[in-house]
This record gives sequence, C-alpha cells and structure tokens, in this order.
Amino acid sequence: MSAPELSEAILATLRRVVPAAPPQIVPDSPFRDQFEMDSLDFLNFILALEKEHGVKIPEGRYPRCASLAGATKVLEEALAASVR
Amino acid sequence: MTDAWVGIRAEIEGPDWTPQNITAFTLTRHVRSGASERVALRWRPRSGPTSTYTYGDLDRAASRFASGLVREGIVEGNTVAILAGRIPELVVAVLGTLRAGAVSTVLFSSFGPDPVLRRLQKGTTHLLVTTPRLYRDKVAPIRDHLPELKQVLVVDGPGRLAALAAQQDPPEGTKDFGAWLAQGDPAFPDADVEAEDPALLHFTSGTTGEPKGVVHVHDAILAHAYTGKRVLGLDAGTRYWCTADPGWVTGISYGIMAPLARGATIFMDEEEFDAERWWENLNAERTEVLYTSPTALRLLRRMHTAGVTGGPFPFLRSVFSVGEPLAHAEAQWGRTVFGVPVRDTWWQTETGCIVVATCWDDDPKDGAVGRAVPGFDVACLHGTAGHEVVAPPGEPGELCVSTPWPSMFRTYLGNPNLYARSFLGTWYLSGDVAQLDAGGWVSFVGRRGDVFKSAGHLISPAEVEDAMLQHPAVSDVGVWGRHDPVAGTVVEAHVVLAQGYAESEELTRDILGFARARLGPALAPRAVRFRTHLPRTPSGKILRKDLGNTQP
Repeated sequence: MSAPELSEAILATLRRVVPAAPPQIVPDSPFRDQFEMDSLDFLNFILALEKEHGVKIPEGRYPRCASLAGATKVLEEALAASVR
Repeated sequence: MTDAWVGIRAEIEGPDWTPQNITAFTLTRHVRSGASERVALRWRPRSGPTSTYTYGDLDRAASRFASGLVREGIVEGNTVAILAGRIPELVVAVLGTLRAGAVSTVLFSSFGPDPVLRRLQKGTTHLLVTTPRLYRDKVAPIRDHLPELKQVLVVDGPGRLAALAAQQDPPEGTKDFGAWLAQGDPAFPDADVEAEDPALLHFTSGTTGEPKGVVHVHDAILAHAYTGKRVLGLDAGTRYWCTADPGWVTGISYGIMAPLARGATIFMDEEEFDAERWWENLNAERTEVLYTSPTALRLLRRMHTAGVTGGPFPFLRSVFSVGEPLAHAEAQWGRTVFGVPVRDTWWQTETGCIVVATCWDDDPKDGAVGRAVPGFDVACLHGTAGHEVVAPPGEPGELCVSTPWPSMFRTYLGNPNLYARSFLGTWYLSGDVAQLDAGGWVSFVGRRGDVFKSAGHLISPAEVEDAMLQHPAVSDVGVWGRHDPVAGTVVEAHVVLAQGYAESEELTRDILGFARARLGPALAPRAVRFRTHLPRTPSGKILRKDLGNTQP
C-alpha cells in the first residue's frame, strides 16, 4: 500500500472508532487539536489499526500515532517489520 | 457543627480569622503574609514550555476578572460557567468568580452540546468562559436557548492571562478573554460574603436524565484546606499534581481549592493522558504528591508493562487515588513503580471533600478504601426504607455520613425534595453500598440506584437514553456499563430497532456517531448491542442491571 492509500485506510479506521472525526483532517496537526479524542478513543484507534492491518504497534510508538502523518509513518514501519 | 469541626476550624483558620470568601483563604491570605512570589501554578501547555504563575499573579488576575464581572452587571449569586480544558484561565475565572461573590460552575469540556445545554440552563448561566473551538462546536448551536447568558469570553492562545489585544478576531457574539481581563482592576477586593452563601455549583448524574446541580457554600474551603492537610499532607510549597479534569468535582476541590488553601504549588498539564509525558512530568516537576484515578493507573500500568516507563521517582512522597475502588493489582503495581503505596480515598460531589481515606501517614489495608477522616463519623445502614439501622461490623449497608460538615452540599438546585430525601435523621445517605469492619475500615460493595461509573465518573443511563431515542432507528434503548480492561466500565447501549431498520455495521456506526455528536465522549456509548426487547419490571421500568446478563 502506498503512503496515501495507507493514510486513507487509517482515516477509515479513525472514523469507525471516533464517529465524531471531521471530514477534513490536517495530516501534521495532532488529532486532539482537530476534534475530541480521549485516551480511550486513542487506545481503541491503535488496537483497531493493529487488528485491521495484522500488525503489532509497539506501545513506545503510541504517542507518535497522535496525528495522521505520524500514524501513517508508524503503520508503514510496522508493516515493513511484519514482512521481514 | 460538631465539636470536632470547632477544633479543626481553630487549627486551620488560626486566631482572629473572620473573612468568609474562599478567595480570602486561597489568595489574599498568602499575598498579605508576604508569599505573593511563591509559585501557585505551573502549567504545561499541549506543546511548548511550562509556564509559572505566582500567588501574586493569580491574585491580580482573579481581581481583574472579578472587577470585569461587576462591570458586566454580574451580581452576587449569579452564575459564571466555564467550559474549557486544563488552562490557567480556568483557574483565574473560578477564583475571580468567587472573589466577586458569584457562583462558579465548571463544565467538562468533553460534554457534547446536549449535556452542555442542560447544565447551562439548570445553572441559569449569566456569563460563560470558553475557547473559540468549544464555543463553535458546543455553545453557538444552543445559544438561542440561553436567554440569560449575557456575555461569552473566549480564551484564544491560553496561558497569557491579561493581554491588551486579541490574537485573532473572537467568534461573533463573544469577546476575547485576555483583552477583557486587561481592562480589569488588579486590586479588586474579596466580596464580603457570608460563610453560607453559595459559591460552587457542580453537576452530577442522577437516576433520571436530569443532571443534579449540587450547591456548595464558601465555608466549604475549611473542609478542602483541612483534608488537603490531614489526608493528602499538603503544605506551603508542596509540589502537587492532581490529574483530574476541573470539569469534575475532584479537579476543583483538590485540583484548585485544597492546594491553594494550603499554599502548595499546583502542576497542571493541558494534554490528555499520555504515559510518556506523565512519567516525564513526575520528575521534571519534582512532584511530591500525586492525586490520580484507577483508570489512569490502569493505563500507566499497561504502558509500563509494554516498556513505556519511568522512575525512580525520588521526589514522590505520596500517591492517592479516587473515582472507584482501587483494585489490588493496581495498588501492588503502583507501590513497586512509584516506590510509595497508592492510598485510596472516597467522597462524592455531594460531600464536597474526602470523607473516607487512607491518610498520608496511614498504612493502606488491602481491599479497604480507608477509614473515616478524623472529624467525620460514618456508618453502614441497612433495613427497610425509612427504618434503617446501623449494620453490624462486616455486614453491607448504605454508607452514611453524620451531618453536618462545612463542605456538605446545601441543596440540589431546583430540587429541594430530592435533597430532603438524601438524609435520614442526622445521616447523609450516600447511595453507595459498603461494609465497615470492627476497626473502622471501609470496603465498597456497589452502588444503589440506576447509575454507574465509567472511568471513575458517574453516568446516568437515562440522560444517555434520552439522546439516543432521538435517532429515528432507535425505538427503545437501555444503557448500562460493560466491563472494559482499561476504563473499568464503558457505556453500552442495548438498542431495539424501529420498524423498517435492520442490524448492520453502518447503522451501528451511525447510531454511535449520532449519540457521540450530542453527548460528547464523556457520556456517549462505546458499543451497541441490538435486541428484540429489553428486560423490564411488571411496571415497565427497564431492568438496567440485567441488560448485560440477559439474552437478546
């Protein structure tokens, strides 16, 4: 999957987990600056990404998943690691 | 007041103390005694460096705010509401409101427009402090329903307090907080209030959909100051972090009132829970006393197990927990990681201050919250309604607190009958079921009535159901808690679909999204289960406690 496709997939997951996410997301800005996302939402979002993409995201990378750009990068790395 | 409180008053207030205003205690006293340069608040914004505000800074800003209220025509007893996250302006607005003799209420910023409207209406809000985004999302859509609301101030770029000019144009119908504050009088005095005048209004969930407006008076500060000292061990200069959001009573009583009354230094982080940041904060701020919740401890533990960890914490002296009973696993884990025991506390919005606790100088007892804080008398009552008697040691009953005490609530706004029903003789009936052993240790069993806690916060199923019933596909709905490894309990909706609708993932999403947009993340359900009917009593009342156990 290319990075833009991955971003689209992440947005789809995000909207499933946080139904209040707005249609437009600024990739480099934290989700929490753009809409309401509490810690439970955030955790559910990451668990959903893991499940849908069949990867494990190390907890240490969780904070980097706080924006669309960050989450895309982390997921890319996780996918690469699972291929190896 | 009982003899015990006469002694406590003398000890906490000292000789010749007459002022009654909460701000006399939390600000004026420190400034007059030469402590105006002591740090009152350290605030870490979402991004950027931590800023520092002294007692003098807060005192002047609160005065500016109070004088601004007078300029706006707000009079003693009017309500000022604050809808914002953890920002210094919130502290200033709360203190400034009290200084002016008005009533302060803080709403949880994670509430959606429906719960915000109900609370603003119930409190008859005259002035609101919020942020541009929260105003746009949650207040602008409902403002037409709030005829009493004269003025809205928006905080754009928090942390600056008074500023001569707005950073950006405030939304239509609002004024910039900083520019408004800058016009105020930095030496405005404490309003001359009576000890029994209303000061703080908190909303809590009831068994009906209507939130309960819990009213506390200025004298409550005596109980905040006393328990801040006796339970938490706060003193002048203690570096203290209460992680609770100011939208809940803990974030006010112990996030602002108790530490300022004790002359301590508050730390406040604007960001939501973030394990890495939290570990960092503890040592960067040299935190001595931490007051947090089992939900936060569960999250920290989970991250710690996965390698996101910190410590040792050489500055940390005590850790306290509130919100729901502390589980054995979290308590054990906490002791190992923090290097100090995690001590539990119990109290309610209605009690205004901690009533049962393992105090800072007491050893925790496994499975028990603690004992009645000296000055309080508690008992478990059981038996038939109206004829309750004190249960023998070890037997469960409704936990009751002997009245009165300074931070006891003085009414439920607009509902004096419900208030009267909260007492039996001289006992306040808490609605929590507990048992007391022969040594006075209190353990919790459950909660009476149709409310439950999620992430430590009381949820009213009826309030959630009311919003969900507005969805065209929902013909009937029952809401109750479902076990969750992190939150402890999450909100789950059991939905009976209307004619012509069928179960699908899209419909689930649509219903959840609909509820979320109205209720906000604090109240909205996280899961939906479709059912053909709901379990009910013969009289038609939903058996909410059976929802999780019965077949669809």
